[in-house]
Amino acid sequence: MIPYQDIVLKLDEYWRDHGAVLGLPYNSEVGAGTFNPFTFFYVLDEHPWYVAYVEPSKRPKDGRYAENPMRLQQFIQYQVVVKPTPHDIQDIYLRSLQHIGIELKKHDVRFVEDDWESETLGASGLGWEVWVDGMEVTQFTYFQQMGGIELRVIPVELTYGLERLAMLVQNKRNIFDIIWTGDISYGDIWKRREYEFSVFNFDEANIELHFKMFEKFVNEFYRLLERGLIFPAYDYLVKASHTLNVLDARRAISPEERQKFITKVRKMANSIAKKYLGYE
Amino acid sequence: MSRTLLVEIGTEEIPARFLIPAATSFRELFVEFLTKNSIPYGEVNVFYTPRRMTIIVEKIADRQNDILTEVYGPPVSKFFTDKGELTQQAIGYLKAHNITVDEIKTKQKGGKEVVYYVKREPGKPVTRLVADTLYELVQKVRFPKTMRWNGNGFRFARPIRWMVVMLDDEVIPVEVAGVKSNRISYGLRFEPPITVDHACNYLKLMRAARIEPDPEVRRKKILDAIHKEEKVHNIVWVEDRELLDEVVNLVEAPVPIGGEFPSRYLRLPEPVVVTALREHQRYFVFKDKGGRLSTHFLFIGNNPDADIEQVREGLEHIVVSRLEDAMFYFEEDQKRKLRARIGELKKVVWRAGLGTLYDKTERLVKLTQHLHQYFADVPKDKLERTVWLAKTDMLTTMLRDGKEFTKLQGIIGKEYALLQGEEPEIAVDSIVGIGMIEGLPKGSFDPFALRRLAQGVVRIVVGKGLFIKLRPLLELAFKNYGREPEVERYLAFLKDRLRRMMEDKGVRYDIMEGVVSLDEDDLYDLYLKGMAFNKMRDKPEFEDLVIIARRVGNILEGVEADVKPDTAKFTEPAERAIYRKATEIMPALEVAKRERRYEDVVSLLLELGPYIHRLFDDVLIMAEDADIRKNRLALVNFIYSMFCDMADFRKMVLPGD
Repeated sequence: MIPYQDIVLKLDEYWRDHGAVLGLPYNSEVGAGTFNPFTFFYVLDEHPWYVAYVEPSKRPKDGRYAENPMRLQQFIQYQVVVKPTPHDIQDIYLRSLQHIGIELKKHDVRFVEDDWESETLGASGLGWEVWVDGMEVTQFTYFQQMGGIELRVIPVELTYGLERLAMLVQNKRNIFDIIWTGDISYGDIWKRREYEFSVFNFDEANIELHFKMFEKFVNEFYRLLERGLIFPAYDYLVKASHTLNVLDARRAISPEERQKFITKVRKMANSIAKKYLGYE
Repeated sequence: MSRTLLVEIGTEEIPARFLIPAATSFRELFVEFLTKNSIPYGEVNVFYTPRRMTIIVEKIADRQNDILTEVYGPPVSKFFTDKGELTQQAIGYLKAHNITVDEIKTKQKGGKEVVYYVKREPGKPVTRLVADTLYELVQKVRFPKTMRWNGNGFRFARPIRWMVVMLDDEVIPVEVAGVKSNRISYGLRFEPPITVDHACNYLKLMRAARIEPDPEVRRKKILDAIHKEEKVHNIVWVEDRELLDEVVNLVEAPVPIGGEFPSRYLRLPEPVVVTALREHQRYFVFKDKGGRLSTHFLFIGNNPDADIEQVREGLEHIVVSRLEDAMFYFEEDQKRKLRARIGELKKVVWRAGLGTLYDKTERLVKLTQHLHQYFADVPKDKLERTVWLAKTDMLTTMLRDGKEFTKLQGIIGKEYALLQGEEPEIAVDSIVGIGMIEGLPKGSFDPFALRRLAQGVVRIVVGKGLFIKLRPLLELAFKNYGREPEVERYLAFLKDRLRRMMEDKGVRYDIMEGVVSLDEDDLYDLYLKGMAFNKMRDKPEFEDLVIIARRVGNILEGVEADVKPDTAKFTEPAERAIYRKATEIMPALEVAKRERRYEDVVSLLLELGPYIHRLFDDVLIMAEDADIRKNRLALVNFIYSMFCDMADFRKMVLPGD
């Protein structure tokens, strides 16, 4: 049985051998690996780029107090971004699954239409969810836009759900039963955090404080952007985005109001992307 | 000589819903190409799977037909001398085209008789025409959405990865989107490539590689599998053609795999279970003979070599996790009745500046009290209670966080509290509120989906047959916000959506305009009028009606007239006749209008036709005597009043216009 941490090692190994830079997770709460500057900024220009990294991704609304066998408020992504795109990228990707021990010949593997969009990042792309026996294990996307900017060199983004992969490889029915390594399970490491963050996201997060924080993060973003401090400014965009997700999980905003907040963050993403490219 | 042409565009997985329209357009483009280039052919067949679109042209000629063109020379007068000998110019012409004088014909052109000959060029080889045109053909295939994937900017639904282009056993060299044609195709993943030795063997080779390129064959296989499942488990398929169409185009080597989910999930509302199985997993669902949802499902796999037991286990596991999710929402939602959630609405901002969902609900209650006059058969307190609950389903977890379950909005409401769907007052309140703050949408920019809301109003009003006066409702909606009413602009906005709906129902443009431009705020009433006119639009009576209505209307243009004529002042028999007729049909007309039997209204009005024509033919309305003129205008106006609430007939178009 391949432990969780060995799956990560094998993916690192596989993508390193294909020429990828092994990157690092971001140091602030993100909703997806796409938010990591390794993806957001580096796909904007026309230079070749190849990167792979682990990204713990926080989706406050998806928490289930550690009671659901497959849903978490934080799950761990393995993200690969490559541009320009090799013509056999689908095969390269599929071989990575074999490399971690999934015998594809015995499974039902398919690419099911799923056009991906991050409203807050002004990012969109076309692609698929990759299913293995009906379970989505990867999001496979040809980016078309980032930060509201039409990309000239098209990158592919591969986002593996590491928990899903581990369940498949280890034949587990519950995320918390995944073997992390030896006799240490995923649950041993994450279960209590899952529960506590679910309580925080749904019941305890201070609404008033988060509204205030959102506003201040937005202001700080524009102040820093004005001074040309792009990467520090971006930190505040990421924080604002996560704060919005917490407010949303806390049910402090209606769907209509949520749209307005999202528009605000998207505008930030667009202005920072333009600044990065030197358009403004 | 007759041959077979094969074009296979190999791609990464094209979305199922794109395939049928794309393949149809690909075939049409091919037929057009063959016809335009006068290439004789037998049949053009199209096949497709998620990873390929294939055209096979049977019995195609290897060359296009010879091209005949008339090449003109000088006028006959300059071709021959008076003595009938060739001129210098003529000799030059014959020499230039390498022809003899026997091949010359003459023709009238531009008032002169000129010589010409028919030039016959041999047709180009099909291989060359395909090579020259394929790029353009592929580029023109229509998809709902396209993408770029490499530097050359070519757009297609998904990346093109290989191309087989062959005439019989010969590869036609061509390049599209950076991909060069070849005789190598690809079948199932992890299987060796397929070498196509001859175009006419393509289907055979694909089937030997277990790919079924023909969607109709796949459909039959899947239906057979469904029927087998029905028999084996004594269950009945919940027929779902939409899903069937999709699944047919999700696979190229269909393998049926049945499975089951634990019966404890049957506690969930049925639509929730069905959504979990079909929306996301694309499983076919069944009912038992008693009409209850069965725990069996059928999945169509795409790998004939798969370990079926292992795949089944995976499929069952994944559906459990989805149903588990639904159970989480369901149990969470059952903990508190919707009624108990009303207070929570105070905590949820609807929109900045427009208050909370609770404020919104309060406004809705006021609008509902106003609307109660239209729903006299529903007890007022029940109506109000429904409205108090209307927004609480937004707080249920099933809708807020439910991923694929959010599609169940309204249905969840019904399942949870037997609520009705959205009522028009909710949409009206949103349109007014958002419109005040953000403005009504202009052009295609409509970020707050106000048009969709307006469309919802129209759909409900028409769908449920509600006669509602919108002016007072809009006015009240503005008052609820404490704003000055801007009723007309918002009414026009709503009427625009009515236009769209009538257009979709096939109502002719001019009829729609004639009806919608009436100064009327009851949308359903306008709709019924439009439908009535549209139904009779091709009959001669419709033309008569428009003619007489216009005749009456034209006289009154720019004239002030009383409504009531004085019978004592009639001087002509035609005046008396039409007045008598009009007063005779008036009661029936009023009843028909009140009961909105607009087809009857029209036939009553048509009865006036002969009288109107007689009036205008026999009587000078603009009489010299001012008193008589005034009375005659009043008579015309009286007649006109019977028509003018039906449509603005000036907008309607007649064949002669």
